[in-house]
Formats: sequence, C-alpha cells, structure tokens
Amino acid sequence: MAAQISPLLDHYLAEFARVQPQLPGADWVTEQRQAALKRFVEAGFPSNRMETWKYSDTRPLQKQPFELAPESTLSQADVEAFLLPELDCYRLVFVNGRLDPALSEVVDLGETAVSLASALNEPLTSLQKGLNSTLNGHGHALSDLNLAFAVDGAHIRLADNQVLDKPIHLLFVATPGEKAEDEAHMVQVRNLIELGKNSEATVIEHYVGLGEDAYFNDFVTEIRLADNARLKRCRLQEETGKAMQVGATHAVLGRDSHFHSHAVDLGGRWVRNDTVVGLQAEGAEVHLDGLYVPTGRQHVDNQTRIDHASPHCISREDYKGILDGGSRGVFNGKIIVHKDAQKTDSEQHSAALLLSGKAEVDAKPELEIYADDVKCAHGATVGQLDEQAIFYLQSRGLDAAAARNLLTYSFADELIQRVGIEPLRKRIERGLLARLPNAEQLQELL
Amino acid sequence: MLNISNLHARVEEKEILKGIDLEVKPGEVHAIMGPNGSGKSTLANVLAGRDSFEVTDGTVEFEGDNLLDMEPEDRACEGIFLGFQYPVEIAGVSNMYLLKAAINARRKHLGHPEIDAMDFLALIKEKIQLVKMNEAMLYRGVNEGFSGGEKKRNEILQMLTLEPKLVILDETDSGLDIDALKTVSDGINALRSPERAIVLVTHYQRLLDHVVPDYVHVLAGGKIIKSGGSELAQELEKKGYGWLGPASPDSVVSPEAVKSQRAEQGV
Ligand SMILES: Nc1ncnc2c1ncn2[C@@H]1O[C@H](COP(=O)(O)OP(=O)(O)O)[C@@H](O)[C@H]1O
Ligand SMILES: [Mg+2]
Repeated sequence: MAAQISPLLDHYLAEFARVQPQLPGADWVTEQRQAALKRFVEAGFPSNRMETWKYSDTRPLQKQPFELAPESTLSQADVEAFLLPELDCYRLVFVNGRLDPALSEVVDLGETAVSLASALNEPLTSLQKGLNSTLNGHGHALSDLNLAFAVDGAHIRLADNQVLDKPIHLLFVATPGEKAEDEAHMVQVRNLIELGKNSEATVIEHYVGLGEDAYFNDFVTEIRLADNARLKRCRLQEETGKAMQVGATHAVLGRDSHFHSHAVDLGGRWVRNDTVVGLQAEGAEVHLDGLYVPTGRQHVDNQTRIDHASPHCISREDYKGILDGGSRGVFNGKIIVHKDAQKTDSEQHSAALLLSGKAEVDAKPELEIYADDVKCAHGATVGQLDEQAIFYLQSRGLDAAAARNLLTYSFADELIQRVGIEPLRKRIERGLLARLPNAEQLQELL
Repeated sequence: MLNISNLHARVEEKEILKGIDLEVKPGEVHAIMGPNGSGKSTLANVLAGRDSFEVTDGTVEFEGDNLLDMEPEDRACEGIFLGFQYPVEIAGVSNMYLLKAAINARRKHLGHPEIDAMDFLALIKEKIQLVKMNEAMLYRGVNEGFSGGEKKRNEILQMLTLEPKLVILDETDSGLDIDALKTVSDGINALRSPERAIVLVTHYQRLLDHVVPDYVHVLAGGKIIKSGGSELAQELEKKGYGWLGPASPDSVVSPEAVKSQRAEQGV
C-alpha cells in the first residue's frame, strides 16, 4: 500500500505518527483512530466524480498538507466578539479544538457537558458504543480523517427526563497561534450529543476564526436522541475569509423524538456541510432549516440526507441561499423513504436568490420513495430580486440600494425568525446585513 | 403642476402609449378611464418612473422640472405618490418600518431631520383611523397575507401619511366592497386641497360617485380619445366604451366586452 499512496496522503500518515502521543483516548480509541486513518488513506480526498461531491472540488483542501493545529491559549478579550452577551447560557469555548476551561462557563452543568477528550480517556465508557455509531455508512473520507485526528469537542449527555434550563453555547475558535510561515493548520473537533428519554436541550455550535491565514476546520457532530427527546441545534458558521470548513452532522432519532436544526453559513472561503438524519423509530420529527449567504469567491455546499426508516415520521426542510459576487452555492436535499415507512410526511423547499449575475447555485431535491402511502412535497426555486417590488419601494422614496437590501432581508427573514433565540437571531441578522452593501439603515429593523 | 406632452412609451418592442397630452393643475381631480389594456397602468407607472417602460417620445414636466430625468425615489421625495393596482407583499418588513423609512427618505431629501419617534406614532395612529385598519396590521409585513381590499386600504394609509403633492391612484377602487370603497373614497377626499392634484385611474364609474372629478379622460389604444367633465363618466357608464368608436384598430371594445370586464371585477 505504502508504495502507491500519494505524498499528500503520506503526509497524513506521518502527521498521525507525530501527533498520536498527544491525542486523547484509551486503547480502544487508538484502535478506532488507526482504522479510520486507514479508511481515509484508502479512499483519499473525495473526488468530484462522486455524485455527492460533483459540485465541490476538494482540490483547495489538497493544495497544502495541513498540520494539526497546536494548543493555544486565548484571553477573554480575544473571544469577546463572538460571545452572545445578552444570552443567558452555558458556554464551552474550544480553542483550536480543545476545551479552554478558563474561557468556559460550565458551573452547574456538572456531567451534562464535558470535554470529549476527558471522556475518551476513560478505559471503558458508554462512548465505546457511542463514538462513530451514528454514521451508519453515510460518512465520507474527511469524517474518517476527523476521527483519526479529533483532539476534543463537546460531549453533551442528558439523563432521562432532564430538561436543560439554558442553551449551551459551544464556541469553536480557530487561531493561528504561534505558527511558522509555511504551516497551515487543521482543526479537528468531534462533538457527541446524547439525549436521554424525554429530555430537552438547546445547543448552539458556533464556528469562528481569528487572523487571516487559511486553515481547515474539519468537524463531526454526532447526535443521538432517545424516545421523546427534543433537541434544538443551531450551527452558526462565521469562519474567516480564507478558512475551509468541512462539517458533518449525523443524527439518529428515536421514537417521537424531535430534532430542529438551524444551519447558518456566513463565513469561510470553501465550505461543505453534510447533515444526515435517520428517522429510526415511529413518530420522530426533524426540521432542517438552512441559510447560506456567500459572496465574493465563497463556495458553500450543503448536502442533506433524511432517511425515513420508520412509519409516521415527519420531515421538514427549508434551505435558502443568498448569493452575491462570484460565489457558488450548492444544495442537495436527499430524502429516502424506506419500504416500511408508511405515512411518511415530508416536505422540502429550497430557494436561492442571486444578487449578482456572476453568482451560481445548484440546488436540487432528490427523492427516493419505496413506500406507497406517503405524503412528499418538494420545490426548488432560483431567482433574482423582484423588479416590481424594488420599484414599489422606490416609489415610496427608498433608493434602489435600500430597496434591494430590504427585499434581501425579507427573503431570509422567516428562516431567521425561526431560530428563535433572540441574541443569536440578532447576531445572524447583523451578519446578514454586514454582507449587504450600505445596509446601515436597516439596523433599525433588528 | 403636471404637464404631459406627446408622451410615447413602449415595453419591449410594443408601443403602448401613443401620444398622450394632459395637463393637471393644483387642486384638480382628473379621472382616466378606459378599457383593459388601453395603457392606463402604463401611464401611471411611467409617471412614477418604472424603468421597464421606455419613453420614446414626448415630455413630462412636474412643477417645471423634467420628470423623466428623475429616479423613482426622487419623484416620490418630490411629492409624487403612486397607489399600485397590485401592491407588492414584502414579508418580514413591517408596515411601520416602511412608513417610517418613506417619511424619513422624503425628509432627508428636503433637508429635514428624521421624524421624532413619538410624532411618528401619533401621526400613524391618526391616519390609520381614517382608513379603518386594525393597528395590528401596522406590525405585520408590508401587505403580507393582506386581502385585496386590505392592500388597497394600506395604499391609502401610505398616501395619507406621506401627504404627496400629486397622487396617482391606479384602480385603487377595484376589488373593494361597498364599505371599503366608501373608506377609500373618504381617504382620497380628505386629501383634496387647492395645492394638491389627484389622478384617478379607474375602470368604472362608482368611485367617481364618491370622489367627483373635475375632468374625465378616456384612454384607448394608448391615446386620450375624449375628455370632458364628470358627466362624461356617467355617459360612459350608460353607453360603454364602444360608444366612442375605435380610436385605433386595437382599441375597439364592444359594450358587451366592457360589461363582461365589469362582471369579472365584481361590479
Ligand atoms: N411588462 C409588460 N410586458 C409586455 N406587455 C405589457 C407589459 N405591461 C403592460 N403590457 C401591455 O401593455 C398594454 C397596456 O397595459 P396596461 O397599461 O396595464 O393597461 P390598463 O392598465 O389600461 O389595463 C397591454 O396590452 C399589456 O398587455
Ligand atoms: Mg391597469
């Protein structure tokens, strides 16, 4: 094998050998890591000959060999801009993937949310069954790369009937720290969220970066909901301008459980997110909302897959893109209704607004239905701002730029409102407005 | 105030306005009537500055300035208001926000400071009563989920709040029930004053029973083919547009056609 592999993949083998001593985990973890690394090297970086990678060329990820981002410490002031000060919440801050207890606020959280690294160090834990168990063959090579190198992440565990009183804000900060000129870093985060029966939680996953260097943030979030559990999960991606992010979320839903995901992509140069949901027991319900707002040369690819594997499950999906400059958006919404999933109720909408003639989007639903008694609806639209509406606003005295901004905001509004958590919603709105030209006058709307 | 001379306009390759002459003085109310497709909305939109219509000939002066050179927002700020035949829905942007943005855009244009928040509220509360709208509608998205009649009331609310110099209302009366028609008419009459001019684009007579115009013009085939006083509207009501004869080959409209048009509009 060694003879055939490329120098780039060879680098990751060497990198693993270099950092392995500092990676957390008992022996069983090391075994999993080695197996994952082997799978990664065998598969290599995804190629756009693969159907799900057709529009996302991974060459930007292959231009340089990434080294695992080293430990780094930040001050409160460094992360101040990313906090949600008006939000009463628990907070775990991860710097280059590793929990920084000094920046975190976890008092009263007890065992509910801990560093995954510390959990992995236990010789025998429930994690042995949990880790990597939600992927069910739907992961990709970069999720294997993640398993091999994962340094830490949040392990959120709610007991049966536990209802979390406040949201948990997980803040992931990538920082160049002390870095040689020619080095490029990868951050490898793994989160595991396990909700017991009848439990309830809200989790905000917030990805940000410092500095101007390119880095590669590769994360995986695994979610397992027991019967009747409810999870609201918001993923806010505000990476820096040269950052590349590959994220994967894998959720497995138990009976009558409820998962509402809000995914917002504002930053990053090259972003790919997979969200895979298995409706594994009757009555489970999932809502996937997504908003992506690329501009300039940004590339954002959202791939979702929902498996209706049981009867009487509900899925709702609503993805919207606002694309400016020469940006590129991809949305693929795959829904598979398995043979026994009668009475499936599924709806998917995707809409994209092209603000510039150079922006491009490929958005498509993909339905595979093997049951006969189901209700499945889907729709995809791509368009520009409505000229009639622009004129309407101009005829009320607003200049053309203000009119365009207002309509763009209006396009995203419903999705953003559904985020619900006021300080987070405002942050998203500000982030959206910051991307629009001369949108200061819209601040009043917030 | 408004002086239209030999106005020609087209959309894509199709000529729609074929030489309109019209003078509107302060204090006057003009009604422009005519069959479907005769160019009434086109005229209204050209006056408000919609750029999908291309003016190919003629001039329009507003208070001595060349109106055709002005951006739509500048026309609005100078005091022209168009009430739309089909008001646009804008989700997530509240009526309140739009009203305030519109007022402030005009104030800025005129070099005035932004309106005081309390004054604004007081103003809106006063105007909303005139149009008998529920206050809750102020906080809903602009026209979002409004019925046809509610949208038209909302246009009148905007008009009353902005107090324009020249009001152009494009079929504001269509789709209204009797009560709403009365409210809308009262709103228009409330604005009638010696310094202000009103142009009512309408399809049929009934609005003109409430807002009696000084002049009535019949637009057919892109031209004004007849002008008269308010009695012209009554005559049209009785005889139909066909009575006026063809102004151009594509404007031949039989009384039956007019009747069926009216039936469509629920008159
Ligand atoms: N955007 C457009 N594209 C093509 N034709 C148009 C457009 N707008 C209006 N027209 C045509 O112009 C003519 C006049 O339309 P309009 O001014 O709306 O008439 P009215 O308001 O009198 O019913 C009609 O034949 C209509 O089909
Ligand atoms: Mg019309």
